[in-house]
Amino acid sequence: MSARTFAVFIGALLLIGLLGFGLVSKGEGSLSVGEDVPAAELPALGADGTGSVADYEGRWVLVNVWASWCDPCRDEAPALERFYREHGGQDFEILGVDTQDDEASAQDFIEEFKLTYPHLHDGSGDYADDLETTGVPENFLIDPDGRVAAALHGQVTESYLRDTVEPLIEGRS
Amino acid sequence: MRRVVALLALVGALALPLPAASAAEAQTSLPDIEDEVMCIVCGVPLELATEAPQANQERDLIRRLIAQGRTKDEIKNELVDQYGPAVLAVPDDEGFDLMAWLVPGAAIVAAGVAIAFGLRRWRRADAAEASAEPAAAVDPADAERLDADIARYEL
Repeated sequence: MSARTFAVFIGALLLIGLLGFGLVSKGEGSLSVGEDVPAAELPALGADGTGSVADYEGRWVLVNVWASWCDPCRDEAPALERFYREHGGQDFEILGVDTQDDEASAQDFIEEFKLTYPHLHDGSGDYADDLETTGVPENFLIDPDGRVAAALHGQVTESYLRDTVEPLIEGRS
Repeated sequence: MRRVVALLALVGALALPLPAASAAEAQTSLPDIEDEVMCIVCGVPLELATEAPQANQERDLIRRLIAQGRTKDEIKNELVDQYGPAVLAVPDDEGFDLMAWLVPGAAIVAAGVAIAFGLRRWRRADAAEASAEPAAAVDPADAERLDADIARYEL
């Protein structure tokens, strides 16, 4: 094998390796079921102080990652609010995480959809990165031990909330 | 009289507004800021993110802040408050970010020194080579003509 052929072979091998790495790393999704949810202190939206997913330990919490500029987030907001009014309480909470967004637009969004559950502001998107999200909206149901019980990489629907979330928080599955 | 005129000119010059001060207070514009901040969702400068909804929202925020009469620095500070330091496309001029400005400058200086050093060595090598060569004998007739030419041009 000549030096030139060897160089071409090594080059091709590197290229294939690089493409393979790209495909594999692209395939990594968000947090999966059973993993511990990362916790970070974030500023509360529409309230003073900060908050964290860790504040809800011992309860079920549906972490909804959203942004006011995201159309699917607008579509899912009414369903989340309805579900919260029906199930929110001692054992279950919805926690909105507004990501890569400005606070004024986020506040407008909350007022527009009359959302009553708490929200944290993740303007830089660092916490969404911790959750390994690839877009918005993404939803993670966290069990009382702080582990992911269900993950949905997209918008929730009435049927998802009824068929997946409700049985888990009511201990039916 | 001259002194009075000079004094009046000095007073007049001091009374004029400084261009730097007026420039610092000039109202900024969206295109002026767009190339210095990032669309954080797209990972490209805002001016290149033409369609992304987050970029459009960021532009709306900048427009609102411009309408409020905020300066460019104030707007960039507000963007950092909202989206974090990653929103800045241009590194800061303090702390670790200062390295982004200093390192290229230092590299240019180092390259200049290296080129100068290389040229010096090159010229020295040429001079040494030239001195090593035996001087060619000059024909007496040529030497005489050369002396005559030089004498003709001497003033």
